[in-house]
Amino acid sequence: MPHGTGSTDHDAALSAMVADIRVRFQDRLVGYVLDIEDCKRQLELPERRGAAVARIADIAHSISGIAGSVGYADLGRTAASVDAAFHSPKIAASSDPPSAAAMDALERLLDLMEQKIDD
Amino acid sequence: MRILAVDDEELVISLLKVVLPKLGYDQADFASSGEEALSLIQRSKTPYDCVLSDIRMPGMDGVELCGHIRGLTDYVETPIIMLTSMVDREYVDRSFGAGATDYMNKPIRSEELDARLRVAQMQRREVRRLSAGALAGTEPAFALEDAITLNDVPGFISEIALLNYLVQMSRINAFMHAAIGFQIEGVEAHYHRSRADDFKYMLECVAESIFGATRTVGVMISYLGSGSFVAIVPRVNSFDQDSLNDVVEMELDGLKIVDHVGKWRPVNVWSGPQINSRMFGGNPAELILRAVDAAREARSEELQRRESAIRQAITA
Repeated sequence: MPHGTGSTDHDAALSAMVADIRVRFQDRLVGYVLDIEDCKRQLELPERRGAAVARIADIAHSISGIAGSVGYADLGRTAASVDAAFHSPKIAASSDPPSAAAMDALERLLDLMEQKIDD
Repeated sequence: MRILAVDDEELVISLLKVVLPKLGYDQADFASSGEEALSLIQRSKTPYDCVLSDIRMPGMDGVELCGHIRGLTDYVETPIIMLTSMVDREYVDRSFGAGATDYMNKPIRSEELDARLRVAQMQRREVRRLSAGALAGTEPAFALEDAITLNDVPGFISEIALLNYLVQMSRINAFMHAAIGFQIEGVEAHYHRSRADDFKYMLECVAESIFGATRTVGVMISYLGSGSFVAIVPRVNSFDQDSLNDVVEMELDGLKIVDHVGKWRPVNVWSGPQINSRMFGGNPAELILRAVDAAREARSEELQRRESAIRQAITA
């Protein structure tokens, strides 16, 4: 940062850089939505269920780590709740499908992701 | 302050590359895995002053990385801040157990990160001050009231890490702890009559004895300066003060504390009663202070009891 630059300019530059990260994040959300939709189909197949659960948890974890920092706090919180619901060796190893509550949280996440993509 | 930031999420690294310089931290390196972080540490000519690490990463996770870093000679007291979206108690416990000094939840807020890094910087300066004193051969290298870090003591964490741990626990509503204070009797005399290394060795022995007496319940021990220790235990346990005093004494006897010339230096330690945290709205710093005060009071009461017993014996 050059000397003599006002903090307002500095903040504006920071906002611009964060905005750039937000755009990259939005781009990534498109792929994540497709991935999650694919995982949802795999949840129907007992032999693929474990891998699908783990992948959903990983995606949710990635989203929850960054969403709040780029201005999407609601998306971050919902992703964290999906991460908590799916990130468990017990769930991944179980032959039962994820609970209705976990699937509801996942649907809420998908809705929010689509909203942010359209922002 | 040179910072090493570790995160497998490329966007988090991009964000830190923007935020850290804005906060005035221009010297930062970035790694996308625990393995890469260790490699950067090994290649670095001077040690990093602070490490920021994610927890959930493929391969070596952040807690494992923290343990590896803490095991390196140059990183015994380096601030390690876990920067993570993991909020479960298990991760908090594992992180502090592996040597983390702070735990910050994502999303990254620049004001909060700034505050944590300022504390880390102060911690770093304090360690440098103590090290400089030790290198210059000035005796003692630390003041009696300094809350120095003790090495190679199981269950030990620095005072600042302990406070951060308890604050994090209260944030996630898992503040179900109790504190027990311990006070070295006549610590001023020990301090003034000892070399710094002998005094520090004595403190390490006391911490080890406290660990030995409380280890069955999973304990964290910290030294607060002026001969005061605190042990944090789950509040479901209920330690009997007299039995605890006996076990600590037995553990200390077993260690046979000697100075640098091999002269025996007997030490007495008094424990206070177990002080349970408030279930809601508990303040970690207040809990620790209450425990330490209770231990000091226990010591005064014991001294008064002994004095009165001697008086009675004389008059009889």
